[in-house]
Amino acid sequence: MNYDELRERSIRVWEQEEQHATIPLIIIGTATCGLASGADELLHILGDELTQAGVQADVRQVGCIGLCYAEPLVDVRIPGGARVCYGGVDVKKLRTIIEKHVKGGTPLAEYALGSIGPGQAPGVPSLWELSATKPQVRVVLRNCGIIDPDRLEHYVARGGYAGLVRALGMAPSAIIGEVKTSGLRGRGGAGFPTGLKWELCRSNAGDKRYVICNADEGDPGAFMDRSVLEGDPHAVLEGLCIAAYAIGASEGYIYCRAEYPLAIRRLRQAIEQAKEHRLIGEGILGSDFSFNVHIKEGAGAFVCGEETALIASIEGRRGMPRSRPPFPAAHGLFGRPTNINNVETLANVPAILREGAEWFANYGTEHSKGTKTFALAGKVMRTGLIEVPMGITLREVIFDVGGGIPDGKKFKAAQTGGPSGGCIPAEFLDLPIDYEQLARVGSIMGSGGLVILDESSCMVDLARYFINFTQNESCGKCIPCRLGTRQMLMILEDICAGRGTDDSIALLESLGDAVKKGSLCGLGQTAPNPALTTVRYFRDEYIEHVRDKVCRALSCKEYLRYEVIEDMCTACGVCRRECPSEAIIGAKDEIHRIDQSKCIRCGICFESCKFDSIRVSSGRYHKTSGGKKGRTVREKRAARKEVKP
Amino acid sequence: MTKHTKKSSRSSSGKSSIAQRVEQWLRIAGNSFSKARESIIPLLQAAQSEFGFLPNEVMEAIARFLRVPPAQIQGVASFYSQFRYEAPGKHRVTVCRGTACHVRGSGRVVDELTMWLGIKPQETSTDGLFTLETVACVGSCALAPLMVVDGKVHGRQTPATARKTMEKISMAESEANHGDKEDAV
Repeated sequence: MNYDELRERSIRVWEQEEQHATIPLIIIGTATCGLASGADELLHILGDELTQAGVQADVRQVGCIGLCYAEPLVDVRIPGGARVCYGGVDVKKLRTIIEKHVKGGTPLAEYALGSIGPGQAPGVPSLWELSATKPQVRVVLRNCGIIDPDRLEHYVARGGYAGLVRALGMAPSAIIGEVKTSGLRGRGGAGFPTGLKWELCRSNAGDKRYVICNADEGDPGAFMDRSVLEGDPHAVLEGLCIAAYAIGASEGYIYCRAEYPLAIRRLRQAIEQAKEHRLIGEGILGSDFSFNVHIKEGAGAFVCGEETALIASIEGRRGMPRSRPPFPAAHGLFGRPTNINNVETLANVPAILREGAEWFANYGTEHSKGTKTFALAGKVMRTGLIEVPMGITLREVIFDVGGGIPDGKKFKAAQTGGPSGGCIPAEFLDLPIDYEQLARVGSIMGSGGLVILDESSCMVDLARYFINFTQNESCGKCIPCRLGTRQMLMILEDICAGRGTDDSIALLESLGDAVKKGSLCGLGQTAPNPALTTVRYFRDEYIEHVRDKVCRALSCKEYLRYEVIEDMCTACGVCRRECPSEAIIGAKDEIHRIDQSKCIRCGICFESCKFDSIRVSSGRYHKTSGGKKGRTVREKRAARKEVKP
Repeated sequence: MTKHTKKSSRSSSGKSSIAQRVEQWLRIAGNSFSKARESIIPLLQAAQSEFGFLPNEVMEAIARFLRVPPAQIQGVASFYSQFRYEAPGKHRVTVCRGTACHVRGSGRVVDELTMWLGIKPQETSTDGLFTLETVACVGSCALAPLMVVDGKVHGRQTPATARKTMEKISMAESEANHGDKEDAV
């Protein structure tokens, strides 16, 4: 079967399912985030529920549509109607949806998040018109949550592999030219122009060249690549294939972290399907271009996201970076010219070839073109996966797309770029997000982790967290990184535990500077960023920690004091029972009290108290638990006194 | 707090039998790997999924298979955090320590589990029932904080929910144990 036949057949299949279906279609998001919130249980009982309701329906499993806050997501489309997306579905809701919508044909507007056309769903707004989705532009994520990632026809029907077909009809230099014109830059963090990278690799003589897809998404707080691999694996494969053709590579590797088993399974399946239809393998689509792809599973080393370390790991060595030059483009995998691109970079490539470089360059800013996916997480209402045009402001991302900060708290900082990035304070909320602007304020674009922090996040603790991570993951080759991050961690631990002095802060800064200058690879060169940016923007907090022994975020244990507010205690006994160190003294109808010598400041009493009876304080900062009103011990006593004559 | 002090009921096989099992495994599994250096990590991964951890015998067998010194295999294995050198517990409890999980309180979940299980992260309880692990990021940050128990992902955890899950497993285990004993009688 040639490509045109495959495409025609795929479109027929897709249109049949999407427009001419005679029975309802139920779509469940079963990416990792969906499964984590219970999609597997829904899937498990769905068959029985449908039989019990006496209706027939098709079931489709899709990847992540990005609305992770509303998982598990179940969508329903009845013949002729629009696809209606329901969020936060549990068993009870599922039964109602089956009864009313699948069987009865009426969408449940009160449960619905939105609808996806074509077709109508009375009373349900379009999903793409919500404040969470309207500012978004979906290039990389266009298929995620829409198609069944296990089915090649779905991908092809939506324009899949058309970019490869076009590329195969072009000279490799013309493809590189097109990618250069598009302005695409590496999405893994550093932002090197992709077209130029390809050109450098192609210009190096060699009997064999390699392309590698870097799917070792190790930044804690980032899950964009996982979602793309799970939701649209063929897009990455097609991008890799186009890159291979442009560079003149005959073999490719996808280096995926082992923590993503579902992504690996989907990739393996996609490779099999593509081979079957000669979209990869020998003589691709009847041309004389051959390209084979292998999957390599990472073994848990953050530093392997660095190009030369990744190559060492594929070769079966300890994943330690080496000095560059020579760059992998000249001397890479097995000593051959090698090009390494990140998952998201490659997923952009098919769209550029299909729609053209100008179309792509329409989005974004002068030096940062296209869109960027972000994993929006932390203290934000609508956590999830988003894709926005470059140049959008942080404010729009956090407050429009993300819906603001939960529990009425105040925004404090946005952490971008994971352990290599920095914290951006509220004063830069109107900063347009692109490579240059983020670098200007001391952070980096990174791979796209965007963790939002509110006033309950301690910036010193966050710096300690990141330095702990990088010092664990430092490969140990460069002494400033190996020992410097360790010393930085000890200083930060001191500051968090009440042992810091004024000198600690200055020492932290000078050490950070030395680590940056004295390390070979990106890990060491960026590891001090979280500490340095927090000192730069939140110096007050550091000073409070070392001078006043106070943590305003009420986070650093050593600075906290938990107390029972005597006037508010209801003597319900919950805190006493839950306390793991038996530090709470009290009995029925007796005001409880915390024995400070036994208190380990775990905060369990605070959390378990439903009433506003427990207070945690640090200096002049404090907060109170629960919020429910109950009959306090003092009220009960007063009432008893009134009754007595 | 329940401390697990009961000795493991699983019989520990003798040293020679492990070596035999490893040889047997490699005779078959070895066929799908090239005898090149780049097979080291995939072979170690395959061995770990077969045996649950990497006994010394595995390192030695892989070294013989690839005709390299065992030190080279050890050297590669020790670099990567995926590899374990002791048998894991029956139930694997993994707490995500990613950024999103951290700011939403995964540190306190770890503290609670450490107290309840009586073991530190990356340790196994003496009864062989639980292994507590922390990982850098599971990648489901939107549902932070996350705990993975025997492959099942639990989202939006608190110290209390994590402890309840442990209590449930522990209860089921002691019931099963009790049943076994009655059967034996």
